[in-house]
Amino acid sequence: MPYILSVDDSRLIRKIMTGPIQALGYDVLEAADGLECLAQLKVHGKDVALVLLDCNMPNLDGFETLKSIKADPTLSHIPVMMVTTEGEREKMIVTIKAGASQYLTKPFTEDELLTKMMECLPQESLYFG
Amino acid sequence: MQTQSRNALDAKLVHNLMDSVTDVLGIMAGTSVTLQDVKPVKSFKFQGDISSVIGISGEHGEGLFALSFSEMLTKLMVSRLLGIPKEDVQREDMIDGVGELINMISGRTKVALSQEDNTLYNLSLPSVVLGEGNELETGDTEMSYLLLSFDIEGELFHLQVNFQTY
Repeated sequence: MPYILSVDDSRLIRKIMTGPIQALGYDVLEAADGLECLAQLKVHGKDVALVLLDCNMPNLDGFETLKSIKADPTLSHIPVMMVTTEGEREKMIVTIKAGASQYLTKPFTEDELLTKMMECLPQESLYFG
Repeated sequence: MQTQSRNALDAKLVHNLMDSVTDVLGIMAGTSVTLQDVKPVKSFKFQGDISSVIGISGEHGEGLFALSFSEMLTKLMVSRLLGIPKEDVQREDMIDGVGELINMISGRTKVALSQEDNTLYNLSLPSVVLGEGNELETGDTEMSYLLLSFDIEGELFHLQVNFQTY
């Protein structure tokens, strides 16, 4: 079963993501910062259907991580959805221009999270067990 | 940006923070929050068992926001955030939860301030402080703070704020 990779330095947020990810029929991969994200993608990249990426993280932030993903020809096809407190329009535009597929600001409802994830995933892959 | 009077700035900030606290806890934890009190204080003393502090800075202003919860209220909030019974809440999630709440509250407030001031602000990563009564020493004896007290189902939690424009 393919993965959705949840990247956030908050373990609580990663736990909150788990239920909705599994509800869409995907397994969960986790990373606590951008460096862990890139390490996970190096191993599991071909099986990752979507990356959920926080912006403000230690070691390597979300924006730099996004640029690394989009600069790597083996990973650039993977959709990235930013999940962040950075709600300013200017920051959203810069991130979308850098290759993000979707943008969700915290706080969010479970329905908002599910809807935006579904917009990033191929419709034929969605499985509602 | 024009220099704003202290009272006007405080009123705007309190309004933005109140909206942010209500939105974050309402949306993420399905919890209704009431502002109980706002008062100026001279020292930055953490008011609860678990506190988180975050810095905000921009071209025209900077400050600190700190959120303090009792252990009991933290457990209730995290249980609602995760949709699990209070008995199943782990201590690591309580500590992480208070840090994430100040991150979201500050993020929401930052967006409102940015729109009003037409400038961008940045947030630091949140830090968590354990234990009640710890004081933050900034070295600035002239600095003053606002202490906002909120009520959730009869339990108080506190948000302490310093924000200065220039």
